[in-house]
Amino acid sequence: MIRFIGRRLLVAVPVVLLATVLLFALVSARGDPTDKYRNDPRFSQQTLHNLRHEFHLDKPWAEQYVDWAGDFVQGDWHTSFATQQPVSEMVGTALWNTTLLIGTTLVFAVSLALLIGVVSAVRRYSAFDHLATGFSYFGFSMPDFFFALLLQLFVVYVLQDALGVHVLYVQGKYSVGSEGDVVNLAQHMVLPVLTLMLTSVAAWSRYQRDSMLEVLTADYVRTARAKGVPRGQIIRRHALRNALVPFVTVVAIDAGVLLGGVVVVETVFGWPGMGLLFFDALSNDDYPVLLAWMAVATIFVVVANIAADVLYGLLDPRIRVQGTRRSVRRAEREAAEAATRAAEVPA
Amino acid sequence: MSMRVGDESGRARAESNDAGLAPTATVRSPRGGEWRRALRAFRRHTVAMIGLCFLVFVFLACFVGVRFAPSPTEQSLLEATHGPSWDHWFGTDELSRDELARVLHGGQVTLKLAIGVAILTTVIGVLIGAVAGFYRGWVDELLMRFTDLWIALPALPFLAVAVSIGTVSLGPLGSVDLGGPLGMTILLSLLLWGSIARVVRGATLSLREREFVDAARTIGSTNRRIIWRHVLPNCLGPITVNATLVVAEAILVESTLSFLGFGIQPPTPSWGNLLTNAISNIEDTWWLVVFPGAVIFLTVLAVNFVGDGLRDAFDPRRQVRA
Repeated sequence: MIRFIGRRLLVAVPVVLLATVLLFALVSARGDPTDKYRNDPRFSQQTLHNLRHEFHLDKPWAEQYVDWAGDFVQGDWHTSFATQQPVSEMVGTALWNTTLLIGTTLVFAVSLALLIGVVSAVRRYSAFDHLATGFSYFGFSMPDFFFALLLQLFVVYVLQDALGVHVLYVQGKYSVGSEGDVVNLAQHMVLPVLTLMLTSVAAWSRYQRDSMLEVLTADYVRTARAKGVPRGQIIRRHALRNALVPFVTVVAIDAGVLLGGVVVVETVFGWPGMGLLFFDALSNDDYPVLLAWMAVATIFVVVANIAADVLYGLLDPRIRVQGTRRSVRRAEREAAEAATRAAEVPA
Repeated sequence: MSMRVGDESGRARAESNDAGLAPTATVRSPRGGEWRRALRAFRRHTVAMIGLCFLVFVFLACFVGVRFAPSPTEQSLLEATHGPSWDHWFGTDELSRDELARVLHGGQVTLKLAIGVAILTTVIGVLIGAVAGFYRGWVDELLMRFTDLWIALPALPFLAVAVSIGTVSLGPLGSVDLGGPLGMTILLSLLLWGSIARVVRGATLSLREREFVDAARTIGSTNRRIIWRHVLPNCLGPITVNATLVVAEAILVESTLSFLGFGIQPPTPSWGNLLTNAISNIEDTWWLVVFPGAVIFLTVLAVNFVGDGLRDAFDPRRQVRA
């Protein structure tokens, strides 16, 4: 297992390098970040010169990248143009807030998606299944910013104005004066978490339904049924455990999508996390923050993918023997094809 | 689900048709018959037909009906931020412009962009997918690793930064503003081709093992001709389905980016940036949020319905089941 993890980490190194080159190229292509200070009377020629030197902007592009990557790895993320705070502190605070948001979302979204997926697979074409299908269409097609705004409208118009209930907040993390109060925090978190959950639950429940259906037609499930294993036990022990394996991967692959969702949700709800930090950094041309943000986001996505592989390895012993996810996928596919062929034989 | 991603099955499993490929077992004119059958199946798909009708309606409204709507720039300052009325069906915005007219004009920009993205991603995805699936080996490994990385990238932040680069010069081709409709079409296409590439690769992997490819090779067809004449025509079903879904994705990504202010910039209306200003006083002007948002939602929903109908129509097994 340790060798397996080591190999995944090793493969991740060139991926991270490539991705950081790409993001550095993108950010550099926006132009010299000190240009906007050129006509600013508060910046002397000397200050500008020092700034350009600090960010290695006086060097050729390739060297700029190497210097930046070196600084980044050593933890020297410079200070923000906009707030004059150390970038590492800003990213640290934002990362914690976003982890809180994403963590809560994951717990609820994963449980809900599993529940919906399993029930609609077991009761295929039932009223519940059709309802779940309708819901996933809704989730797939709803732009998350619009959903967030609708939630805000609902809270303001219906809950507060019509019913006079003030339980949910539409902006920020805490109300002024209630910092540290857990109940107040929860009242602020409901709407952002609901918005983030919408797309995830729609996609993941569909996925879980499909993979559950695949497993339910497998030979060993039929064997179990023939042996007289109780239905609930077949679903929990034989089917769900196997259908969970691909589910984990999908959740991890969607990490990048979730990051995009975080940008939208945090901007709309004023949640002081990574998404809002990105929004501010890009709006203010905050070069050091932007670079650090993109690098942290890339690493986050790559780590999520490695975590998926490791979990996959833990859940499915075949992978540790054969090495790659792909060979397992092939094995699964062959099993599924056999099942399909078997199902095609007229009963 | 995993069956769609890739198919390395050999000749023995050639019949299993995993990527929703058109069956080619028919002896006489297989493709013409296949398309007719798919069309029939699509027409019977009620939800997809409703979606299609709605899309036709939206297109007609945006590109024809817009002539009968009030001007999107005309201001009647006494009527600023008025709710919906007979004169202004969707109300007026903070500059007293007719919101419906702005939605229709924004629709022109967004819909053109979405269709452009669907076409461009199809070209890129088919090229990469077909080459990877047909030649296999290290070419496949390299291209698919790259695709995996590309799909894993956090699309929205990368796009936002790319758009903010602004105008780039393309040498002899002139220059393109990455924040304009054309530039965004190109950027979105460069980011969204992954799913099509995977589908085409999966289909190609199984098609290249079929007898008619062997036959073509026996009579001396070149690889390029085999891909072009024998493999790709048989992937048209899955390609069409995917291109449709890309339209939905492109609308969502464009409107999200523009909503955040990182996409198409305000003098040019788009479905996303119509909602940007609405957010600041959402409590007083709900119609500036609800109407444009609902139009985006319903259009994307209709595209997804059509995509699903196409998928069922091209996959004979699904019809038997459903």
